[in-house]
Amino acid sequence: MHEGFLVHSNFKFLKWASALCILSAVAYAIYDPLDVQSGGTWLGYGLGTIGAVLIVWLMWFGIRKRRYGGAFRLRSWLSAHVYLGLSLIVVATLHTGFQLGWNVHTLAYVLMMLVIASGAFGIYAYARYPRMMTENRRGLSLDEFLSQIGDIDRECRQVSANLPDEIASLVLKSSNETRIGGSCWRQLSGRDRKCAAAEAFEELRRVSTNVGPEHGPSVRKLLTLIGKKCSLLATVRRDIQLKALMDIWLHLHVPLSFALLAALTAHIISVFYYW
Amino acid sequence: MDARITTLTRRAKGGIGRREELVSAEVLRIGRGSDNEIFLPDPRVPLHLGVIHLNNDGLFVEAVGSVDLRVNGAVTRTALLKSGDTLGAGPYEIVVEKKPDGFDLGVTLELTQPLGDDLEELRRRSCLSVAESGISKRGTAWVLSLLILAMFLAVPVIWPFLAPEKDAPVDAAAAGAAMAKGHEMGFDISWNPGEMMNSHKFFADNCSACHTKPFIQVEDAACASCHTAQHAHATLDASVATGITETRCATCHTEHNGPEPIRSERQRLCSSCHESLDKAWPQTALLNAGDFGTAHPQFRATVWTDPGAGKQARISLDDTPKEVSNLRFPHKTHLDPKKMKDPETGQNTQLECASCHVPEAGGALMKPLVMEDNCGGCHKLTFDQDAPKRTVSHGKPELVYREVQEFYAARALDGGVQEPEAPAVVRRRPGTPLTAEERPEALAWARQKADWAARYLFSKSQCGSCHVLTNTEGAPQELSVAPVKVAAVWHPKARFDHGAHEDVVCADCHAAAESVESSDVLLPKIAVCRDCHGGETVSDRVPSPCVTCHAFHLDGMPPMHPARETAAQ
Repeated sequence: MHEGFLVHSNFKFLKWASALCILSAVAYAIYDPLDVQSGGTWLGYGLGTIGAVLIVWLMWFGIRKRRYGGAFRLRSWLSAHVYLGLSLIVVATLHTGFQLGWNVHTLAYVLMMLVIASGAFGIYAYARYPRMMTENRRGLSLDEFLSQIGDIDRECRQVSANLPDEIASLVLKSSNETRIGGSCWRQLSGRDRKCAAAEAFEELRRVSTNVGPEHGPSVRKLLTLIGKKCSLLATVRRDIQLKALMDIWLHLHVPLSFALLAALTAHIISVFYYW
Repeated sequence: MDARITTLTRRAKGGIGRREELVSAEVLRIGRGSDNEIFLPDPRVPLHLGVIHLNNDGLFVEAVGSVDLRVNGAVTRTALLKSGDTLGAGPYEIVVEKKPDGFDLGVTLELTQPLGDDLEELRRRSCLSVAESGISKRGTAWVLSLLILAMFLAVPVIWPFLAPEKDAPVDAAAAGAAMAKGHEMGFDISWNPGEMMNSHKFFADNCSACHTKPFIQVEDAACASCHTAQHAHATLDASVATGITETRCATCHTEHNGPEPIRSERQRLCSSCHESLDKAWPQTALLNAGDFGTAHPQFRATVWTDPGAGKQARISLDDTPKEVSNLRFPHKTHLDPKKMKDPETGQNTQLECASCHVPEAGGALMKPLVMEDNCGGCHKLTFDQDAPKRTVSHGKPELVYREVQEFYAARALDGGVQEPEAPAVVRRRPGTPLTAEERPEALAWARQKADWAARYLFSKSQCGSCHVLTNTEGAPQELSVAPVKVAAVWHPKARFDHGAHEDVVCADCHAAAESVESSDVLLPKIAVCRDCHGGETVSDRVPSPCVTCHAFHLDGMPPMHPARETAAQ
């Protein structure tokens, strides 16, 4: 039976991470510093060390996942990566002593929280979007959709061969100017507000009332074809959107992790530089 | 018009296909429509693009409608055609050949810009994944990381070397002023981990004022460069023996924790030593003390035991200390309205504590009592019943005698004394000059009266009602009182703020109403304080750590900083 990384080994790493969080919280509750709770007390140094080691180890996952073999299975690593990464929320927050401000220390904290948030979104995306993609594509592949669109374009051109220029130019616009996806933002939006096919369809519907009776059947056929194309485009764009959502978190997670590593380095060096 | 139309088709493998078509028509129409003689089947071509005519001048081409017709690259409406001209029609090129035999016109047409494969073109125009959209994980990671390392690590470290302080502080006195102005904005401000306390904010953007050496904890010298007058906690030998010298200023005084003063008030800072001080410093005269609620010894009052010899002693309130002040003052009598009369009205009156005990300006302590202000209203130092309003000054005994002597000498000199027993010479009509013979007699009377007045003053009736009389058998000018010693503060090692307790009735702490001896030390015992105050962890009373009453830096001790440096050596 398939066992996901979340339930791996009967939630072994969830238990470890919970234990770490509880231990940190209890230590924080018991520890009574001379002044106030902060990163500069002995508990603060302790939690900070645990947090820094965890961050470096979590980032090692990026290297580990590219290697085959190794002592533990990759699923085991991923499970640990997820749960221990989430435990950083507690460990690092207690490390700060809730002292946040406009400085490099809080920058490191905020970056860490963003990395965790993007990772959490990644878990959500991998749990939810593959099924949605399958349902959206109704069992076809993306290539099949694209070649259907290509076929429609070709057919449209044949139909429009003897139609007036105004209509031919709309057909040309539909087939030559339609784009799918594009910028990252447009992929994520799942739509194209200036979709050439949709515009051509609207325009065609408007002019269809003015064409001569001899072109009527052709124009109606064109309307059907371009309408079909628009619906195919919506499905494809939704597919691209879901895929982009499944990709984008890693495009945040990885660069933010390195930004965090840099900020963490600056944080650690600076607090001891000005001890 | 007869025309030969040659269509060239480039094949995928590189060959060229030719297809000739012979057309005979009035005019040659060019366009996408199948009714055109020159048929250009491409959606980019208008249905009707243009027409080629033949007239007497030769061949010319004319555009239909507002379409894009190019002759030899130039957009035109109409043009004469000659052999070799190239006609551009959308993606087609139409070349006018040298006039072939038997034809009016020969053209070669070729689709030079064919439409691509639809699927291919669609893919080319589209961007189907985040990775293709130009966002690179690696690139972003590098940019962000390097930016952060540069802004928040490299620049803050390097900047001071590029822009050194212009006027570095030279001596301790100038350090404070230099600290505030002798620097410019540094990039290390991004390292500031938290708000500084208010009194340090004037140099809050000058990190190196305190952080003088990289990777070394803030040194005491940085604090002492401004805080020059701070006293140590104990004598040098005691400090060394108990290890206080190894404690940094910043152990108790932590910074970057907000605007409140940066003094740790935790009880254990003191009790870690003072709970078992007899072990850490066996020579100590102090008793062990810890939590105020549970481990603090009974208060000990510092009282005068022998004021003449200048001796004081610390005596536990449990041992009922007596202060030898050489004063008589029964609180009980003074608080009894039956015994107190208003000097103005003669009516019985109730004295309050505040009738005599008035707070100092700061409100913490009470003003010292002064005879003229606090006692003189009732206890008038009169000495002559014929001059009932005449008093002597409250001062040194020898001056008192001089004052009464001068008073009676003046009376004798003036004359007009009313006493029947007085000699005639002083009872003479006022203003009558004394003769040389009369003077000794008048002076003798004045001396005698002064002696009587002195004995009256230095008796139980006057001075003796409050003071201890001394030398009572001596000559009148030698009569005196014992020197008065009243402790200004009975607890010199603690602070007490009367102002903070102003809503508490005096009698709740000071049992004055039953006190008949001036030697009574009317201080509350620790149990009275514990009614309201407990150690720092209590929840049902006022949490009171050691520093609520005690200071660390003690005025009587050597200066903090040199003492520590000496100890370090």
